[in-house]
Amino acid sequence: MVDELPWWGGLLLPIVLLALAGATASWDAVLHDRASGGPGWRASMTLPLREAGGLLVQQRRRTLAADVLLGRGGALALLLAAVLASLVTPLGHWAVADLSIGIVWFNAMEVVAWAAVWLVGWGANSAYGLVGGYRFIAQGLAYELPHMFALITAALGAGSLRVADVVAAQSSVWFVVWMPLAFVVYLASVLAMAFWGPFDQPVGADAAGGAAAELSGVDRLVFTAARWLLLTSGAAFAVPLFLGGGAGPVLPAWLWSLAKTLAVLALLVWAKRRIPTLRMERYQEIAWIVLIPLTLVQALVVAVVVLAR
Amino acid sequence: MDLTAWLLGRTPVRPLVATTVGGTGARLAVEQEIRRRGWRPALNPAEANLLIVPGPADPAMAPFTNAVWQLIPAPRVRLDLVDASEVASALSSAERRLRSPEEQRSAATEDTVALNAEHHHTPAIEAHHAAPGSHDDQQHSHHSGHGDTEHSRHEGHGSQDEHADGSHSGQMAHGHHHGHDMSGMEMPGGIPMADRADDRDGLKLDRLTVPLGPVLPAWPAGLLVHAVLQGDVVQEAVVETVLTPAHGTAAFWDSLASDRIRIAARRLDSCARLLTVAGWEHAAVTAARLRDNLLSEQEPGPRFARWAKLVRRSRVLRWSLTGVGIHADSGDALDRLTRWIDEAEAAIDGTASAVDEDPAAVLDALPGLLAGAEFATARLIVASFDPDLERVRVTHG
Repeated sequence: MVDELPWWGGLLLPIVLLALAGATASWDAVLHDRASGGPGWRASMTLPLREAGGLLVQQRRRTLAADVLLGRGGALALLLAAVLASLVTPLGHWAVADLSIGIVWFNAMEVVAWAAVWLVGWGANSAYGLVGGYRFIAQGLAYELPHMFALITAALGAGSLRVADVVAAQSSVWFVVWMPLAFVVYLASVLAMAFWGPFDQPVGADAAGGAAAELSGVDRLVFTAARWLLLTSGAAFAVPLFLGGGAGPVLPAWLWSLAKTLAVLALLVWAKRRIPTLRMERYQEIAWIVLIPLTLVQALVVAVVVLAR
Repeated sequence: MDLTAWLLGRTPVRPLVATTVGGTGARLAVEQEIRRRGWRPALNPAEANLLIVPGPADPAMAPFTNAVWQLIPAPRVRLDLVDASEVASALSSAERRLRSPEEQRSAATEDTVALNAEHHHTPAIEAHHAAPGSHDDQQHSHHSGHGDTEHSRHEGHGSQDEHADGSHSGQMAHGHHHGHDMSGMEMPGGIPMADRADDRDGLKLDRLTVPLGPVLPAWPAGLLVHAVLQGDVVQEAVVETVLTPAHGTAAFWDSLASDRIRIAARRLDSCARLLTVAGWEHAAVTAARLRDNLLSEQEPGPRFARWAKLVRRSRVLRWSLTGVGIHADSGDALDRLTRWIDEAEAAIDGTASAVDEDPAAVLDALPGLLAGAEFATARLIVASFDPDLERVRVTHG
């Protein structure tokens, strides 16, 4: 069902991810332009690209007594983790790697963000960076457990941690149909792991950009790109996990994968416009008291169904 | 072809707006123009490439704006704007200067010359960023012997600026990052270490004195809060204003003739700031757009009703503002936001009536409200009062 690509698949992966991330950023910019009465969609569409170009020619600033190695290392680790997480995500019938523990691999890469964002915030030696770093750790504590239960639920439904098996198990019914709760929790945690939209407190406007408060030039480019790639990787992984992978009529499987990924991304961009930032101070409570029990019940239901089948 | 010049010619403008007290009119014109041009405001100096200082030149504010300017990486342009009518042309010319390689090259040369001349003589106070203190204590005790000399040297510098800033026993910070690495010093960057004290749970934690403002996104112009932070909890707050009293001038909002515009636009402006701090960019930018419509005497139309409905109905917003900054007269942050929306709605419908709060009373109440608040909550508290210090400047002048 899922074939591993030869070595050049590894080169293709970042390109595909970047294209998807760029499209999402453009779409986000166009929607922002519409709401704010800006110069029009043509100018906004190219904004992410021009931003990237602008950051390339911006001076690389550093703060006094900053831990440059850890700070820059953090941003780079975030970028690598965002790309590597998608190693196991199939595009139609192709994946760069078809690991027997694919879901665990994805989870492990995404957890790198915890360390990476903290290091970026801490490394700058700035109070706002530090506050942003703290916030991401708190956010991690809130989203990670429900997120892992959501992943486990999908694995449970398929009886395997291999992504190809999860896709194969959805040949009759997509997992989103009988695990809707896990799907919603998964999407929320995609936003949280990319600290984006309603979960953008670690880089919030109130803390002057939080963990990213001191980044300029290439450092900011790496960090920002990593954030978009993380969002894209997370959204793309929802497709094999809950939306039947490349399954669909008429069109080829890879096109279905892309279309579904873009649909998930569009949904996330929409959520950003509708929901203000969730304060971790308050969300923590919901995550632990409501979401963890709910995801556990969801897992229980799935387990019973699997046993009864 | 010169790639750098090509990229520079297309670089998006990222303005950082640092309003001085008395600059509300200019700020509104700037914000409107920024929005129309599709520029995205910067959240911090590192991200910015254009510093805009709307409002009259104010000697009290100058050290802060200068320090922020020092923190902005090249390519960069600074714009001081007094008059709201010159905004459009000034922003166009700033954009041109930012994107011109010749301009940037000569500006960089001037900076280097200026930097060499003042190097180690006039340290800028870092107005925007806190002096950091995320160091471990071991390092502190290990180096304290050497550190003392560094410390006193920097304190000596600090006294020059003390009249302007008023704080700083241990928060001298840096303005120059231009490639001089101070990591060889005995104490990290020559900055004194943070104190330690018990926090609310009885744990010994670093205490950092962090100046909040006067240059922060969606922050009231001229407000400076010296916050003692442990982690991200504000333990103590000292509130001061950064302004020079002016006689014979009226506050911008009071000078507007039409009650309808005055009340509705002002409330929408406060809503836009509170929504920005609450992390709802979409609703904030819509509020700002409605505000600008009113100020240019256009009808906001059904968009206002849609926006008000969206904001009133947001459960997440309600949840995040409830119980924040409870004040005897005005309730919590959600009550204040709801009141602003109600007043704006009434004013647009032509039945204007608004309660004018006294900014001085807000300033008195702030330290008590901020103490013990988590950082995000503290920002929401300040934004939910949105004190207009122009009125302090006039009445108490």
